[in-house]
Amino acid sequence: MNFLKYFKKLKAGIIVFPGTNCDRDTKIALDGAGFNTDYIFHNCTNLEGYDLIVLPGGFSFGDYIRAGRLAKLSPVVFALKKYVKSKCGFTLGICNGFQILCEAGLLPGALIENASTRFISRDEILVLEKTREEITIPIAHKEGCFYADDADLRRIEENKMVFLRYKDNPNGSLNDIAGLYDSENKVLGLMPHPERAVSKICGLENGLKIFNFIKNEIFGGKR
Amino acid sequence: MKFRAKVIVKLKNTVKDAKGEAVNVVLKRIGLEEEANVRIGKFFGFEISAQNKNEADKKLENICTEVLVNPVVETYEVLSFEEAV
Repeated sequence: MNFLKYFKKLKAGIIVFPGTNCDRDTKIALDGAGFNTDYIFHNCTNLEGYDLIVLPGGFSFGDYIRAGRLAKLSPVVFALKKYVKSKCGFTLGICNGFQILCEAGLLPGALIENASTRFISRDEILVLEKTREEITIPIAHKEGCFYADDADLRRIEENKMVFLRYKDNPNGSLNDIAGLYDSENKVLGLMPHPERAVSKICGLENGLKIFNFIKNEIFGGKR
Repeated sequence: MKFRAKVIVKLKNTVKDAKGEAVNVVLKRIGLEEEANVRIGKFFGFEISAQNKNEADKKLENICTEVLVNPVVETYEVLSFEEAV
C-alpha cells in the first residue's frame, strides 16, 4: 500500500537545539515543498511517524567544544540513531545538521575549519553527482571543510555516497565534497543551505530541486 | 575522592590545521620564527569524583573519548590527573 503515500502529505520533523537558527527557514521551505511539518525539541525521545527528519543549520549548543559535539549527545540524537537503524524514514542534515550527523557517526568523516580560516557566506556553484547538473545554492559556514581518512574516502567514492560537489572548492573539502549519503542512502548531509533558495524573494529558487529530490527519495526513488 | 584533570585536544598530525598555519605565517612575517610548525589545540580542566584512582581513570577516558574528542580528526593528551587537595 506504499502508493497511498502519494495521496497524503509527508510528515517532516525539524529538530531544534538550543542555538539552532535555520529552523524557521527550513519549515517555510518544507511547507512550500508540500510537507506537513513539526518542530521537535532536542529532548524528544521518539521520532516514530515521521517520513523525514531534518537537522537544520545554526550553532547547536553554541558549537562549544566543536561544531555538533554537544548536540550529538542530546536525547533526540539517540532517538535519531534508532530511527535511522530501523529505516523508518529519511534524514537530512543541513550545515550544522551535517556536522552533527558526522559527529554522531551517522555519516562518515568530519567537518573541520575552512582552509581559509574564514566564515564564507555566498552563492556557490555545485554539481549534482548523479546528473552532473550544476546548481547554485548559498553556503554559510566556518567549519565546512570535509575530511575523511584515506580508507573512508575510498569507501565513500566506491559506494557512490557523494551527493553534491563544489565546482570551485571554497573551503578545502577533500574530493570537493559538499553533500554526502550514508551507505544505506537514508541519511543525507549537505553543507549548502537549500532552504535559503526557495523563492524569488530569496534571490534563488534552486533549493526547491533539492527538497523535491528528497521527496522522491522518501518514495523510494532510485538514485 | 576528587581528581583534577588537565587535558589537551588537538588535530591529528595528518589533518590540516588552518589556524596553526595562519599563526606560522605571522611568526615568519614578524621575524620571530621561520618554521614554527604551530599546532593549535584546546585545553580542558575539569574534576572527577570516584571511589578510587582506577574508577577515576575509566571516567576520564570515557569523558575524553565520548565528549571531548572526535577520533576521526582529533587526538588527546592528558597533561595531568591528580587527586585534588
